[in-house]
Amino acid sequence: MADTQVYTFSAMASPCEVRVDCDDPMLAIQLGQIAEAEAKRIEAKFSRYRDDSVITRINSSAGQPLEVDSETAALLDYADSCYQLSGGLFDVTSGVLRRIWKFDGSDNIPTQHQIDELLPLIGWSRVSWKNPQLILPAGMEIDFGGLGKEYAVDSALLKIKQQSSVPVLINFGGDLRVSGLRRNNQRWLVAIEAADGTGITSSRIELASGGLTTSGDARRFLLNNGVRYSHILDPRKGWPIKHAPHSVTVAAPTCMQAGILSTLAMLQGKKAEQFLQRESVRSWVIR
Amino acid sequence: MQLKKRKNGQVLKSLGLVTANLFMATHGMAQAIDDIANELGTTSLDTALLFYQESGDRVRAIEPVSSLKITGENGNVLYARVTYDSLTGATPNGAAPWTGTQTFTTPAPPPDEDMSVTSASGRKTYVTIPGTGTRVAQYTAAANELPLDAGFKDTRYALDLGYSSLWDTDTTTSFGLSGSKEKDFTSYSLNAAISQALFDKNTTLGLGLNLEFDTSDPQYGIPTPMTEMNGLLKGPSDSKTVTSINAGITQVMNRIWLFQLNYNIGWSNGYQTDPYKIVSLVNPVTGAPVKYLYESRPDSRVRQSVYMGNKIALGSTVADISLRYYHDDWGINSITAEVSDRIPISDRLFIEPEARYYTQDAADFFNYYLLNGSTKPEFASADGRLAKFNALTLGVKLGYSFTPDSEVYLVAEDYKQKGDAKVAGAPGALANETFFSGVHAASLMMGFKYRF
Amino acid sequence: MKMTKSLLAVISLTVLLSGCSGVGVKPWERDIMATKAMQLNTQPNITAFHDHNYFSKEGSSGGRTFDGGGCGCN
Repeated sequence: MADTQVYTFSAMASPCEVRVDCDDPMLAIQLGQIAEAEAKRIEAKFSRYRDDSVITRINSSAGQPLEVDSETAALLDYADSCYQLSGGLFDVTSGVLRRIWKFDGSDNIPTQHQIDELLPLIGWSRVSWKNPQLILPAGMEIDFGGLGKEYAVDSALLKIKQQSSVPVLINFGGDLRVSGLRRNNQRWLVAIEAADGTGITSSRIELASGGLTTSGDARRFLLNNGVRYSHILDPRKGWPIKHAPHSVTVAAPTCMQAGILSTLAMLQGKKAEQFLQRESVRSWVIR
Repeated sequence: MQLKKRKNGQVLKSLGLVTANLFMATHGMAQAIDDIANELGTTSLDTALLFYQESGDRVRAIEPVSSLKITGENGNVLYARVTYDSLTGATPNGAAPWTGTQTFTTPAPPPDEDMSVTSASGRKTYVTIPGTGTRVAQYTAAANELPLDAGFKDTRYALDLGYSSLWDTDTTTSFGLSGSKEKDFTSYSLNAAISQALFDKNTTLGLGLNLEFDTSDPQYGIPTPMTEMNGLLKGPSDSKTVTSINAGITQVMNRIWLFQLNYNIGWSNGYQTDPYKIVSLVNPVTGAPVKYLYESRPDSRVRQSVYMGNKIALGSTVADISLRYYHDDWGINSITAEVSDRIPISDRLFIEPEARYYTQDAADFFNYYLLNGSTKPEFASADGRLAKFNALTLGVKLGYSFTPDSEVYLVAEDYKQKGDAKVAGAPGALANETFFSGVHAASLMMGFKYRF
Repeated sequence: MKMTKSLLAVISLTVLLSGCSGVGVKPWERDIMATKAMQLNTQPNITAFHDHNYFSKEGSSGGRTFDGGGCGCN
């Protein structure tokens, strides 16, 4: 991608970049800094690893009612809608499963007993959410991992668009969004990383507008008795989805939509392609 | 382990809306849908200028209006509107037309006010009644013409303030204050309302109370009803109170249809007569005017209305269809039907043709004239607004958005009243006179809205 | 009053209906409802002018909101 200025930084445990299609490096830096500030703001606010984050406050509320700010409320509303839309497959309370499922490429499979102990702590329907009041039962946890990065991408784009109309591409750890066509009405070129984790690109996508995300287990999986367990877990059963593709890449009007769709496609297991076809979204599935 | 059965593309579509809602709430703007109505954390300024002109050299008005709306991040709204209204022209005084010239007498201003009043009402002359020394003003109406009071000039200033606050996501309360001042009329009102959203915000119930206090203070005082029009200074100012209750429900019927139903009832008590209007007392055989009496209206009026509004999205257009039934205990019943359709021409430009039809019965005490020698009724008015008539408004609205936050708009309208010109069975030559000429007006409003 | 009674009937019917599944929309079906054109009073200055103008030319008032008009023109 010649002719674009690239601003890079690291946030949300991922490499992030902002490509600005202009000849003015100062403008690129300025816009890049806007995106970086937004990414870091969202990370600080919603990271479950920070003691002072909203998520930590929610997760340590021990069943006490809690009032949340409007941004958190909007994200919870969003999570609520996704939960309903997906029939319970997309669940922001499923993060506790990570206590026993460690996708480090090893063969450490938890026992059914361990899983059964955790299942009562999972289920958005157990949470009482009436904007702006949240009651999270003790022991349960909320995790915006499934939408935080995508939200940051869309959010950063909005912030940049308020400042400038130059074409930009925002890529936070593989979740990306473009502002529209590049100069001279060219499309942006995006590469999908191969599922084998070699870093060698496997295909190129042309993107004119909207967002693009990839869900998959390129690096995060478990191998046990020859079965490859993807890191996509079914919150209702506590087990990884069977026959999930290695990766699903989806293009949608926004990064958030793409993110949810690629996750939902993974959750369909062997019906991923069928699901994507029914939704008639542009998608690339690697098995 | 699969999604609920849905039509093709349903998840993507639904996600689009959910995403739009999310960014509306967090950033005050939607990502995929630019047209989303969201004002959280914004201030908008809406300024417009209205020109209004009635045909036949009647009322002309120029009205600048400016409103400011500040919406907090929490959804609380502060609203303020300032209106200035400048009216000039002639308005029917209520007297019946006649085959000869008619002369009407009103009080005259003290001599030192001559200049200003003379300029304001060019067709008035001042005479001193012989033998009394009383100085009066007189104006005339030509033969076979509906008598008009030419001395009509007024300015009005009005201020409206409102504050609404969200108690929780579903309950809103609002309070408002307004005041308006004309040379001869002052009005203050206070209102409070509460609305409650139910069933996923698909239903909203609202209840409001409005209290209004009006003072009528004509330049030469308030005349005694049913006495003869004359040039003497009149009694002191008078007032009325209006208490109104409004109850309504707004219902999202389906994805494209919003329905609204309102009921309101208002009790007015106090002085409701028009101090400038008169009724002709005519000869029961020839129809010739004998004298002119100041009109008289009841002290109490109870108004009720039911309003049904619909907003229906049809393809890319949005139709607005409403119907109002109105009834009051003065005997006026009316029906109002309004239709408009907002048609997008491009992303930025829309055109909205509109039509309104209105029809009303006459008030019980409405009479174009009274017969001399018959018992004088307690109440009588020849004010055309209390007559039986219908009215048609045709108009077109245009709106153009330079950016999602700024819009210019233009509304042009034609309003025409129609009623029975002749009065069946009118005595003598009156039978040939045109009593109802109706208002025919054109108006043009230009405005600019900006949100920041 | 007959009018009040029938009105109450309509209101209770509407509330009843909206409790059922046939009427109303889910939060993610509010795309059209959320657009500017579907809001109830998109042009408040024009509405105010209409209300004031019709109030001063006709015998009726109120409906959409309160009656009354705060001017001496009627």
